[in-house]
Amino acid sequence: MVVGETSMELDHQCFQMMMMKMGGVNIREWKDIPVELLMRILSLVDDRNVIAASGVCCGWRDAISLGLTRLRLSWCNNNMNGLVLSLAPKFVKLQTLILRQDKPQLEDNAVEAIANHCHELQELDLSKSLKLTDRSLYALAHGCPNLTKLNLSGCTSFSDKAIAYLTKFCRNLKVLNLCGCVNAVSDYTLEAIGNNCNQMQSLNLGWCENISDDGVMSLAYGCPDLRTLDLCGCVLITDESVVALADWCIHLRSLGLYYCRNITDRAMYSLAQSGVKNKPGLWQSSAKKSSKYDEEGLRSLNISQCTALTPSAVQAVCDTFPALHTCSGRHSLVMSGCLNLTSVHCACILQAHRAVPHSAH
Amino acid sequence: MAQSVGPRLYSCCNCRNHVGLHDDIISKAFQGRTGRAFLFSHAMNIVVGPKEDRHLLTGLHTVADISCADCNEPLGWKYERAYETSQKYKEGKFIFEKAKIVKEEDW
Repeated sequence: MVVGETSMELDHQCFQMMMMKMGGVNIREWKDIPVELLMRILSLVDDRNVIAASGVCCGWRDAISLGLTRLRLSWCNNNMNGLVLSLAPKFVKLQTLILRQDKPQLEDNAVEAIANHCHELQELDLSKSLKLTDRSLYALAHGCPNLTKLNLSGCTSFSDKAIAYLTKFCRNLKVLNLCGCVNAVSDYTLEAIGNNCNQMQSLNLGWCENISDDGVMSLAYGCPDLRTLDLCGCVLITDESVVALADWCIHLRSLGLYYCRNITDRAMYSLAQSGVKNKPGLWQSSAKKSSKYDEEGLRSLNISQCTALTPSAVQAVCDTFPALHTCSGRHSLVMSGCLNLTSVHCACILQAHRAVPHSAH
Repeated sequence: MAQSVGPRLYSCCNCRNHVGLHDDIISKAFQGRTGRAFLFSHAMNIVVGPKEDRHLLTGLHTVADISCADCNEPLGWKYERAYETSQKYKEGKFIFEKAKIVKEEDW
C-alpha cells in the first residue's frame, strides 16, 4: 500500500500527491522511493520480481542487498546453480534461504559462494541437492556459524565426518533434517551432535538405518532440549534408545519409531513412567510459567509396524499423555500395521459415549 | 520476469556486478592478455584507469585499463586512440577478457 493511497496506480499525479503528503521529501521518480517503502513493496511480490528489482539500478540494488533477509529459489528449474552464484555476493544479509530442488541442480561452488558471503544465515534448506558433496558442508561450517535450521534431507552424498565437522562450528543448530542421509548419519555423527549441538530441538533421522542405541543414547544425553525426534526406518534401535530418551529428554513432544521392530513394551513403560515423573505438581502450576503443552508431554507417537508391542503397554502411554489421540479428529498415536493394538483408545472415544458432554482438554 | 525475456548480461567474475550486455558485443575474436577476449561497444559499472600507450598485436594504441566498479577486479581495457586507420573502428570501445567475465544464464 502506498502511503496515504488506496490505489496501486503510481502515475505522475500520484507522485505529486505523495510529494505533498510527505511534506518536503521530493519524490519525482521511481529512484526516489524511500528504501523502507521499496522493501515493503517487495515483500508483497514473488522472489523472481525481487531478483529482477535488484538489477534495476545501483540504488535499488544497494537497498535490496541491505534489506533482503529471506529468499526462496525452489521455482528455478534451469540453472539454479548459476543463479545462486550470481546472487550470493549481492544478498549478504540473508537470514533464510530456501533452495529445495525438484531437479538436482545445486553444486558445491554455489554453496561455497553462500558460505563466503551470507554470514548471517540462520535457516538453510538444501533438501534434494543430490549433487552436493562434503565440500559444501566444510564451507558452511566456516562461513555460516549462526545456522539454527538446516535441512539436508535427501542429500545422499555426504559423509559422517563432514556432518560431524559441521556440528563443531554450527553449535546453535536447533532444527536438523537428515532424513535419507544414510551414509552421513552413523553413531559417530550422533555423538558429535550430542557433544556440540546442545540446543538441538528437532532432529529427523528417518531411514538412517546405520544408527544404533549408542548413537541415540549420546544424543539423548547431550541434547536435553530435544522435542522432536524421528527414527523411522532406523531398524537397529532397541528399547535402550527409548529408555535413554525418556530419561534425559523431558521436553520430548514427538517421537517416530516407524519400523523399529526391536521395540518392546519396556520402551512404552519407560515413556509412561517419565510422563508421570515430569508432570508438575497441582500446587506448582500457578507459579510456574508453563504452557499447556509442557504439562501434557508427548503429543505425537508413531509406533507403526512395531509388532512386538502389547495393548496394555501402549494404553499406559496413551493414558499418561493426554495429548496423544487415536480419535479421527486429532489422530497422533499412529499404530499402522499393529493389528493387536486395535483396542488401544484415547480418552476422547470413551467420552463420546457419555450422554453429557464433558470438557477435559 | 526471467532472464530469458530480459537482457542477457555479463558480470564481473569476482563479485557478479553487471558490466556488459550481450547485445553490445561487436566481436568475440579478440586476443587479451590471458586468452580470448570480447569487443563491446559499451560497458557499465566499470572504472576507467589512466591512459597509456601500448603496443598490441594490431599495432600502437592508446588504451585505458578498466576494472569493476564494485571490487576493482581488472577486467580489460578501453581503446582511447588507434594510430592505424584500419584500427580506428575500435576507438571508444571496450575489451573484456573472457576469463574475467561470466555470462548470466537464463533462470
